Formats: sequence, C-alpha cells, structure tokens
Amino acid sequence: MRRRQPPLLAGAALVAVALCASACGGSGAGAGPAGSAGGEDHLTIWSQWLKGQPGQQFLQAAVDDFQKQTGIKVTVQWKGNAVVKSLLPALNSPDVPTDAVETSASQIQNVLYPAGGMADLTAAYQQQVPGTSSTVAQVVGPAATSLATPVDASGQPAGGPVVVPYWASATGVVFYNGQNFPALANAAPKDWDAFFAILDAQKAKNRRPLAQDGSVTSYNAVFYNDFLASVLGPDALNKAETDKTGQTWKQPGYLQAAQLVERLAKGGYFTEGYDASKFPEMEDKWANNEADFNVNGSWLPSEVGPVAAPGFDYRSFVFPAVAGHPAPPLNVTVSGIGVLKSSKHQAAAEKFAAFLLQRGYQTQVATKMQNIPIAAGTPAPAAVEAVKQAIDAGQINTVRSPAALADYNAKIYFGLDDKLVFGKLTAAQFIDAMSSDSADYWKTKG
Amino acid sequence: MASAIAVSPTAEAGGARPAGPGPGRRHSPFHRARRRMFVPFVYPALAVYVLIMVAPTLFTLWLSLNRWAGAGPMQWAGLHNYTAMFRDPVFRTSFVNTFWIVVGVGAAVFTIAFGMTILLQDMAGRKWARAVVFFPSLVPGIAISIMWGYLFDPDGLVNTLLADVGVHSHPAWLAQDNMFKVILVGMTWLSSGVYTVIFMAAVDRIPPELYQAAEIEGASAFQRFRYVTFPLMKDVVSVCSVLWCVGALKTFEFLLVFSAESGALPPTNIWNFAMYSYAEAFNPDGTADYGIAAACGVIVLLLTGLLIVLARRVLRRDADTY
Repeated sequence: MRRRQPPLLAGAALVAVALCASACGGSGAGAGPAGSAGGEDHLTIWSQWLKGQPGQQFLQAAVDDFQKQTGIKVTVQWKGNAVVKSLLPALNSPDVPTDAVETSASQIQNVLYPAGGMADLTAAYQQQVPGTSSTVAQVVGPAATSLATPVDASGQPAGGPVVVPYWASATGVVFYNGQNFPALANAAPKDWDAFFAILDAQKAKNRRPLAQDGSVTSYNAVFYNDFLASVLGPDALNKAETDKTGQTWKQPGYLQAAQLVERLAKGGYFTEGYDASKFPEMEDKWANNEADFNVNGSWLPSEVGPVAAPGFDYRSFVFPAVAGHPAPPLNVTVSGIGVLKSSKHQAAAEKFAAFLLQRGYQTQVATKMQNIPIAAGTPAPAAVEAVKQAIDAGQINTVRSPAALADYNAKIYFGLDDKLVFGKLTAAQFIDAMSSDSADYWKTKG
Repeated sequence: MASAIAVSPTAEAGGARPAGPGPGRRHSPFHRARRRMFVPFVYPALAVYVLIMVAPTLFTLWLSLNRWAGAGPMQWAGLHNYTAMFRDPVFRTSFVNTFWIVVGVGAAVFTIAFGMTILLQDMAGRKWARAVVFFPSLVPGIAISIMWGYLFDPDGLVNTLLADVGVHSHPAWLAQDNMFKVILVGMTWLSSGVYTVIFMAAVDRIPPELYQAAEIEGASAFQRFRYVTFPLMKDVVSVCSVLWCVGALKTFEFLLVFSAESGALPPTNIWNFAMYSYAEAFNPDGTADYGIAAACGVIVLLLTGLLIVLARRVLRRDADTY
C-alpha cells in the first residue's frame, strides 16, 4: 500500500503543478503590468473599442501622447463590447488584470460597481485638467457627473462618481436627410402634433415615413419612454416600475403615452416589415431614402455612413414634446474611464482620465470619433449639433433607473412594449398587462 | 480509497473475463507491475476530472444557494433562488421552449435521420449524399443563424423566391410570434445530417446477409428497417438520444445570435433554460445574479440526468449478436 503512495502523490503533484502553471501563466499574461509592476507607473486599461475602430484610434493616439508627456507607460487591451463581461469574473482574482476600464458609465455602475470593484472618483474630480484652469468636475459638469454616479435601489445617488466620462451619446434623436427637408434645419417640429403633420404629409405621398428596427427592443422602447417622460415627467416610468401593486400604471398619463405609440403602430407610420426584420435592415433603408425619419441614437450617422446614399446630409432634432406638455429631457449615456478599486496605479489612471478632457482631445472626439464631446462648448459633429446643444443646456434626463430594474425591463416591459409598437396590443391592453404583470413580477421577487 | 480503485475486487477476481487468469497470475511480476502503474495513470486523470468537473459542479450547487453579483461577497439565500425562479413566468416559458427543443426538435431530427437512413441505404452515390447531409453541421451555428436571419428578412431570399413563383402573401418569418418556430426549423435542419451520418455508419455494420434473408422473405423497405435495421442499431440510437438530450438542453448560440441585437437580450418568448441562465448572469444593463443563473444550471443538470436515464431505459436492449 505504502509503495503506491509515491506515484499517487507524484501524479497529483504533477497535475497540481501543471494546473498551477497554466493558471498562473494565464493570470500573469492577463495581469501584465497592473499585477506585477507594484509601485511603478505602468498603467493597464481594458477598453470597449476594438482595433481599427475610430474610438480605438483616438484613444491610442491619446495614450501615445500621454506616455510621452508623463513618462507613464500605458498598455491598452482592446476588448470590445464584452469588456465588462470579461472583467467581472476577473475581479475575483487576487491579481486583478487591469487598473482601469474604458466603457459606458451605465455598464460600470450596473455591473462592476455592485460587485465591489470600482473606486469612488470624488477626489479625482477635483484634479485640474491639463492645460486648463478647470477641474474635472467643472469640465464634466453636474448633469454628466450625475450620470457617472451609481444609484441605489430607489434610484438615488449612492456614493460619488465612478467614471470620468470623455464622451456622450444620446437616444431619442430624430434623424433625417437635410436634402429632403431643408426647412427643418431652423424649424424643428415643436411637438408631436407638428411632427405628425409632417409624417402625414409623407404618408400622403405613399411613403412609410418612420424607419424602425423593431428587432432592437431598446429602440422600440424609446417611443413610450419619451412620450411618458413628456406627459408625466422623466421619473414616471421608474415610479410605475417600482410600484409593487402595479396600480401606478392605471394613473392618468400612462395610457395617453401608450395611445401615442398605438397611433404610430396602427397608423402605418413605421416602415413596412419593421416588426419582422433583422437590424440594421430598416436604418439602412432610411439611409437610402426609403424612409424619411429615424428615431435613434447619436451614433446613427457613423453607423450607417458606409451604406448611406451619396451626399446624405445627416440632420437631427430631439424627440418633440407631446402637445401641451414640456419636451422630454434628452436620454444621455456617458462613457469614459472607471478605475478599479484594487488598482495599484489609481493616481496614474485618474491622471489619464483627466488628460482626455483637454480641449484638444475633446475636439478630436467630434472630429475623429464622430461622437459628442463631454466638455461644454466643444463643437459636436454637425449631424448631432442639436443634441450637443441640449446636453450643454443641461436638458438631459438625470433620473436613473436602478440596476435591479434591468431584470424587470427584460422580462416585463420590453416584451409588452414590443407588442404595443408592433400593433399587437392596444394602448388599453398594454396598460392592463403592465399593471397585472408588474404585480406578478414583484410577487415572484418576494 | 486508493486501494479500492486500484485493486477492484471484480477486476482482480477476473470472473467476468472471457479468458480468466489463473490464480497464479495475480502474483505474476507483470500483473504486479501493471497494478503499480494503474495508480499513476488513473489518479492524474481523476484529479483533473475532480478539479474541472466535480468541483465546479459542487461550486455551482453552492452558488445556487447564494446571491452573488459575480464578484465581492456572497449572501446566503437558501432556496430563495429556486422558489423565485419557479414563480417566474419567464422561467416557465423557458421550460416550455426547452421542452420543444429537446422533444419537438429531437423527434423531428430523429424522424428525418431515420427516413434519410432508409432512403440512402441502397442509393447509388451514398457517400456523396452522406457528405451533403453532413454539411450543415460543419458550419458554425452562429454563421448559420446569421445567414438564416438574412434569408428570412422581409426583403430576404426566401420572400424573393416566393414572389418569383407568384406567392406574395407570406408569413412575417422573423416576427416575434414566428421567430421561435423558425428557430426550431433551423435547429432541425442543422442537426438532422449529423444523426443521419451516425445512423448510416451503424447500418453499415449490419451484415448484408440479414437483408438478403429479409428480401427472400419478401420484406418491404420499411419492414427491413423495422425488423432488421432498427433492432440492430438500437444501441447507437440510444447513445445518440443521450447526446441529443445533452446538446439540446444547453442550446444557446443559435438562439442568441438569431434573435438578439447588439449585445441585448432576445425577447423572452424564445428563451430556453440556457438563455435564462445567461440572462441572469449577463444582463447587459443590470447587476449579475449568479445565484439564479446557477440554480437554473442545477435544474438543467438534473434534467439532463433524468432524460439520459429515461432515454437509456426506453432504448435498453440485450446485446444482439450477428
């Protein structure tokens, strides 16, 4: 018996060594400087961009410049959209493989922050932006700072900001070809009555004027979100969603917003096949003048650019008000640098975040990335100039949806809203279903 | 433990061996050396298996009894994840959809595979046909699902072809009400070839004289299948049914790529267990809930075990000899 032990132990040890070697090798490779450099100035960043994208090229140029100016070595790993999904499990490692993550504030707040991974950047907001007399807080501004701050289960701010944003995007933007509607450049429709008149005029020409990629649930939800925000205010959706009785849905205003969506769905305004097509079929049609308007995000011009009709003149205005109500505030998402709590190079990461807020780089956000710079007064691309004006004027929605409601949206709201947008439910049926399904949902949550 | 595995009484006794060793063999130098080598060869594999299969399974079980955001502290939840999951209507939808995939698509795949096996059995150029039916399984499911998306688009190839032959009224293939049905058809198409090829390989092992005898008796093609082919390929069908159950229960990529856009979750009416689990762990807009994702994984594990036992029982048979 005893004579068998050495081979057993040897075998087990061999396996253990092999596994440890591979695990340690993997960790070490991923960890790079963040894990091993100790106190040295060697910063690692995981980015949402992929090699070759305009955002990647912008950020790489900024990194090169930052290295030259500060002597701090920076390694960026281009992870793409899966950056947060990749980073979450890595937070369990004793040697977290990056110092900072570059992505949207909502992902950082909703996924990484609840896992205890993100540093509070309140102090970083007080540092000066290189080449200016302004602090980070001043350049970012209070509205965007609010968007960079996590919220608790009731939607109230929880702690300080966890992201230093350098660019913004917005949804609920109405895009059109300036060549076809030159009069709208200086006379955007003030409300939906005016906009419906324009849409009806196009329908009279046998056109289906509104392009809508129905396979993207979040695009479908923009209509009800914004109609409701106009009628009852931007916090109305949160109020109804968090009401465990479901009765808030029955209050006046919720039905009115649904009736406007129903009017769009059943009135033949959306492009034919919008409820049975694959993204980006419909926005490509719009970019080729087969539809007139597209309610979308500020990224749309750069997204359809390669397939658009020659000379397409991208213009936009923000989602109009429901007649008799104030316009809904613009729904904005900010993106930037979040710093890992476990980072050994927090100061360097914060310094880099501030570096991106310099005037020169903010200008390049518009010119090279074709996105909206976060700094007030920095010009945006012409296609989204109206959006930038709304952001600079602070006309943005700062009501935050708690992270826990993502599950509610996925399981209740998006499904029923899709049916409303596709004309499968009437407004009254939608409200009834939202009310009863909400009550059932909260019961399942105990 | 070590000696129990290393020196199995059954193996040692050698009673089951056709050519049983004599008592003296137990103490032969060769046998002693073989016994010594057994341990170093088996234990590393066992250790790897425990580390990468058993330990994660036990961890999943533990995780299913906790609330966890993917990192940071866990919070004990007892059976809450299970009760919340069973009360969730979306979980029930996922259950029904999983059932459709495992049983509905499974039945279609096996029926088609049997049919193709009968058809191709005596066909000239069957090797070429075998390669053709196998082709869909060579292409990654992701590529197929993307291609199917474009085929069934309102302006896609399917509708264009239908219009060319004068059919202008066609279903909205990718509408939410129809999407799951299209997915089921796609999965059937994707999988039928693989099982056809496996069944044909099993048929190739059946001695031809049995078919000659059946022909002399005047058996039809179906009767030949019923009384010769099927009984003699039953063990292969049994293994295939197990493989199907295991694969179908964790169907994921085809659903996600076919239906979801830009990293978002697909509509809940096409979720299955795998998608439910993924959505709980990776909701792109919300905090990860690994506890419920793990609870769903445990349910899938139990169902897999149950289905395997059922499939093996239904298709159990005594060894047939030719």
